[in-house]
Amino acid sequence: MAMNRQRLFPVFIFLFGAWTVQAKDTDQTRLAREEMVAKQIAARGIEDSHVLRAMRAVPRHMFIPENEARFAYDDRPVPIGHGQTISQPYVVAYMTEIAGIKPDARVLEIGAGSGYQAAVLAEITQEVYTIEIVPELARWAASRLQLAGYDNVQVKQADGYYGWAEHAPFDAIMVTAAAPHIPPPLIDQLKEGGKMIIPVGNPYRVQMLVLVTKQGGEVRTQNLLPVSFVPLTGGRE
Amino acid sequence: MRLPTVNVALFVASLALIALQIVLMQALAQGQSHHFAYAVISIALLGFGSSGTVLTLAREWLLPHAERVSRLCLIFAAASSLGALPVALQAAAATDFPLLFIDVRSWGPLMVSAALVFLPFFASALFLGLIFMRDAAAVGQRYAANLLGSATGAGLGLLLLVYFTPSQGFALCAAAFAFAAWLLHRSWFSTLLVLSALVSTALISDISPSPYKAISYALQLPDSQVISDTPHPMGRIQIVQSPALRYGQGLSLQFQGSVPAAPHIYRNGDAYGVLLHDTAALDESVQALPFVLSKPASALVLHAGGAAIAHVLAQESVQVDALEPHPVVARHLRAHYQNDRLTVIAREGRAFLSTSPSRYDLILLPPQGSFGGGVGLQALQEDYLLTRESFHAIWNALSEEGLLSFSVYLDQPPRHSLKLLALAAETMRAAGLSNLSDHVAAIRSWDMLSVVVSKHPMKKSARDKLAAFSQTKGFDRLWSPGQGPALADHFHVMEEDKLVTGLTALLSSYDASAFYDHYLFDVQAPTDARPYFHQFLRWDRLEEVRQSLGSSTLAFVEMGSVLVAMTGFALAGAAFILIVAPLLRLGWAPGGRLAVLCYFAAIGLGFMFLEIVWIQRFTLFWGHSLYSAAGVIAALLCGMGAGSALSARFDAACKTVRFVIGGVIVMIVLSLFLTPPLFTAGWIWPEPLKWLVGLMLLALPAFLLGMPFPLALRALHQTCPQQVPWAWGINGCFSVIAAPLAVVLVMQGGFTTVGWAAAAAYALALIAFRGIGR
Repeated sequence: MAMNRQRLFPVFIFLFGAWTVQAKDTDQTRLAREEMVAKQIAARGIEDSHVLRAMRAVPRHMFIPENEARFAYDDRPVPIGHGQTISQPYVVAYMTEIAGIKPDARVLEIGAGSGYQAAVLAEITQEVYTIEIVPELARWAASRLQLAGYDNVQVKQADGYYGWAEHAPFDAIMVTAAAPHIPPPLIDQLKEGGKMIIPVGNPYRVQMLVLVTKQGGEVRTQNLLPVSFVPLTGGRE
Repeated sequence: MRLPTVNVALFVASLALIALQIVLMQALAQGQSHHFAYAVISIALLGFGSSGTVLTLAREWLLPHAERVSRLCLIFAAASSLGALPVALQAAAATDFPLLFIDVRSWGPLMVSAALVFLPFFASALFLGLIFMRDAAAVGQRYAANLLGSATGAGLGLLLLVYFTPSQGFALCAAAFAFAAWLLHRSWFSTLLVLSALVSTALISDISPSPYKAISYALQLPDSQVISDTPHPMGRIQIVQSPALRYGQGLSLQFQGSVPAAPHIYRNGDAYGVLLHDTAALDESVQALPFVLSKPASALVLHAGGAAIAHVLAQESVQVDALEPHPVVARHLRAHYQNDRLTVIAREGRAFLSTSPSRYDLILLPPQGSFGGGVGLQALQEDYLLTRESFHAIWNALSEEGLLSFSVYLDQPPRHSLKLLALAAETMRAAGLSNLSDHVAAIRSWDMLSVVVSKHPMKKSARDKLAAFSQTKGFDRLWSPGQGPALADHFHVMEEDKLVTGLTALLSSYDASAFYDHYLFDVQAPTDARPYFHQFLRWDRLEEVRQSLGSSTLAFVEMGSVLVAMTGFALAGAAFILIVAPLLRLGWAPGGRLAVLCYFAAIGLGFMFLEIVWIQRFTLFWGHSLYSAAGVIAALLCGMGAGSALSARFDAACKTVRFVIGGVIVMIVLSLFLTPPLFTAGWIWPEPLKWLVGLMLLALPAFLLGMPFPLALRALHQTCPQQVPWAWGINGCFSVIAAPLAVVLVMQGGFTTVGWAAAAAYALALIAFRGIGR
């Protein structure tokens, strides 16, 4: 009987290990991150050194529920509960690169979700504001950002439609919770010459990144190459 | 004459089985999706096939204990309906469809759900099979009780959907199973089970939908609340209100006002429409195009659950007819938009267009596609509004100066938009127009395209209005009448504008067919015979798609098709095992076994093919797929019940079967040729006459269709009784396989091909009968 128990112990660890992943940054997670940046991001053409450094620095696993944390550095989106997902690492990096964020930029994110995108932005710039409408997710994002040490991110639980007028205008706005229309207040709060990035589409299928620019009072959009999620394999889309 | 108790029990159990199937289908559609429901129920229905396998393998043990085992089966069916199905629904709700392709763990809930749903179906099918095997000499009567119970269950199932939640429906079906057990043996346990099931209907709570459903997102918003919740066989309608639920689709980026909050309508948890009052934002969206170009006096809004009614009513003195097929939504629309200029008609667009003599200055189609593109779950969903025949009817309903208008969400590469434009272009060509460019105006925002098609060539004034509107609002002029793609990429720049090149080709008489051939996706105008507007993938061009899109190809494979294919393969694999396994016991004697396999497989396939074709034909005639499914299934089952009961008076001889199946084949062929012209002529008949004629048309074939199964079963019982349960299992397996197989046939050759396949299957049965019992 004791023998059986001993045999079962590794099985138990294998089955339930995922639920007990520590929310700490270890050599193993740092290594996984290095590999993620090299194979999934730099290999697909992301060159911005600020973005690459940020992607290497943010402990992605800390922004993912523990039962999914083992997929944190995989080349895929990961569910975070409430029917939401944390984007594939490459999509986060690509959006951040397109936004062209400078170290002194003021950035607004609509749809904090897990808080990961805000953390990546916070590695590049000092002023990041993020809004999440779902109270549970807003609490989750705030706690994760605090745990990971990002005190330069302000989290607000509110309707992202209205933006954050007190801190406007913004150099960049990332609308990660896309709606079928762009709220007029967000366009209003975008700085002249600023950029707004909107990923449109299912994170497990094809996402079209839409870049909105404001120049001379005229608002234009540009559909960038679709980013399709490719399971199990890499390769630039 | 006193009915044998077993016949009553059979009737009640069959009633519960079909009602359970209907309630479960709706429950899974509400909790997860219609497609998930299809996959899970298909697997569950293998319970019929597997019951045949179990009966064959354990025949010697089961027959002497048939009384007790049949009671236990019914009690188990009741207990599992009550206990397992709510758990199955929760497991189903946990599945995220796209994740199935990237995370093997997501298959867990799907498998758990299918396994739990399988239990009551297997138990009740085992009961039916056991009774048929035990009473094979009187199988005609037993089969008649089974069919009549099923017909009644189909009607009761629909009633359950009106008055009860799915969980309560499960409990009531469980009570019926337990009551059937009580009829066989009046034990305290079955009495207790009946009472427990009935009591639990009052106590059982509703099941939460999947967090991935649109309504779940809406209910997470602060201060959101369900302000109306109405169950209905056409889908449960819920209306959710929240300050954060807004409607501003296709809005101009120059718009400075506020986008108003509006209650959103959900059907089975999926976004269905919106109840709008403030249309200021819509006037600044691409959807305003028809009102910029004309001032209509009358308008027809097709499938009006969306915002279009409010938008049209906001125009001065327009008389509006709004067609909404869902009666509950139609009721809400009447209550919300109380206006003398509005008439809301609760009918399908096709049914109305084929009968109404009215002519309209403007006809509005509902917005197509979904924001950001969908995942292709609708690929195999029939849509009779978006076919050539439907557009022809729409064209005829336009006044001389009339406009047809539609909006569509942009997808990349463009598919929905091009297919709609192909429908419009083909319709104009069929109407004899030559210079199509003069009849089309199109503008585009960053996420939506709006198109207006006119009966008469548009004038310069229309071009000027289009130019002024698009310039002020920051929309791109994708098509200016008579001028083509002027300033198509000014405000909203696309990487590679296949929409412009596609539209240019479609409007040219010379380039259209070459464009269809060369385009990687199927954007040809669908027809009533293949009404799959949302199916775009060309399997014959998959390799080229792969070369063009590389590793992204998978993202463009429509999940609806994948799901049906996967279900088909899973069913075929399981059916093979279930059919072959009994042979380990029965042995393989080529003559007799092959004949039994071919005969019962053929009548299983043939019947289901026929049912699918007739439901399609009657959908157009009776005006809605639900009416058609209910009417056809009820008529078939009742007619078959009578036929089965009468078959007991005939010898199970070759001559009888030749006459019966020969008659079935003649009926099928006649129906294929005669129903299309008859139904076209009958569209203008009053509804009661349509129903009367339809039911009469179904009665005779249904009567004959009830005989092949009991006659052959009786012949088999006389010569090889040990093969009776095997035959039952084969018939069950092939009935289930028939559904995905029919979809493949429709995709290839249309519904008529499925009709011919049904006739071929019965011809095969005719030949195979000679070998039965040899």
